[in-house]
Amino acid sequence: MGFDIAGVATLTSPGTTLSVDGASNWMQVSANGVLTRPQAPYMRGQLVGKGAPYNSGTGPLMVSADVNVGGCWNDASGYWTAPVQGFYMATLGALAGSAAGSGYFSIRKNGGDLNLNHWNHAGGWHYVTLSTIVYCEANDYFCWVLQSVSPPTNGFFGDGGHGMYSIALMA
Amino acid sequence: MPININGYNLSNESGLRLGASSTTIVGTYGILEPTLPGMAGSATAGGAYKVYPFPVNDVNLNTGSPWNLSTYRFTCPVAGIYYISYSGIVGDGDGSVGKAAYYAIIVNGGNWYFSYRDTLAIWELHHIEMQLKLSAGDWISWAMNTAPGPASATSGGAYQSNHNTCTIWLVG
Repeated sequence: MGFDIAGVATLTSPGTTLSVDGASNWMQVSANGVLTRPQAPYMRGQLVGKGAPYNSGTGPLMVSADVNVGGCWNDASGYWTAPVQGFYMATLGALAGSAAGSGYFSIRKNGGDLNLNHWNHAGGWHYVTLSTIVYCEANDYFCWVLQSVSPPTNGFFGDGGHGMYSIALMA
Repeated sequence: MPININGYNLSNESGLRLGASSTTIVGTYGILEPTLPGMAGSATAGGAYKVYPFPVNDVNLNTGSPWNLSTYRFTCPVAGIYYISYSGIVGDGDGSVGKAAYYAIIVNGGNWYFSYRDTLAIWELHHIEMQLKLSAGDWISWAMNTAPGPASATSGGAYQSNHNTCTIWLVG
């Protein structure tokens, strides 16, 4: 028998673990107190088949999701849409190049830039990272973008591997 | 009086305590989870730059002991989303440039995601991070320019005598 919380959620347990709404398993606490959220919105992916270097101009980086829990990531638009209000952690690791040059990369939320990063390399391919927490209201959306890349033929390696992208709801 | 859910008690002990664990929901601060699986440490013993697994032998945090100090693997105690980060100086230490190398996150012995760096100077810093949704029992390690990750022909890899920070922890 579960413990019904005003029809919103049901707490169930086999005696050692606790689940919130056993069917969809929103939250689970193991016997030693480790809390997980199996339905947490989440994606991981990479740039695939985009060429190298790949420069998306003023638009989103078209990351291809390898896993997309909750369907919040859209491969066709390059946007993450927040299903609920919360704090989302986003990580980017990318290979910037291929020639000497510079550029900006950032998270763009609802059309505005957050956390602008910059690279300026003397030559070759160099790896860059950006990680941040993005606060969202439900239906806010964000993406990764490149800006002011010089020379404009530079960009990120986009032919699979050499980079990694992820987003997850933290709280 | 606790609320008994088929033998699992929700009780009031300086907050809402979940079962027999020490995880507690407290006013103002939210959820306190002292058993959150995680590790933080460094490879300090020296050795080859091209290396697998990356031997993080000195841990300052290893909650629940998911990091094995012999196999240099993190075994997930529960299914969930794990944050994985390596940062450290790379190259081969001889001061020359062009030590192009691959740095990979290995899951269950296979290459899942990898990065690349072509050094322009000695002691460049490299950083890789990722969030991976994994099953209980899955294990994580790092491969530095050698199998099972990608490997280049250069002698480039990761420095093992400190100057690196490695962390893995459950985030969801």
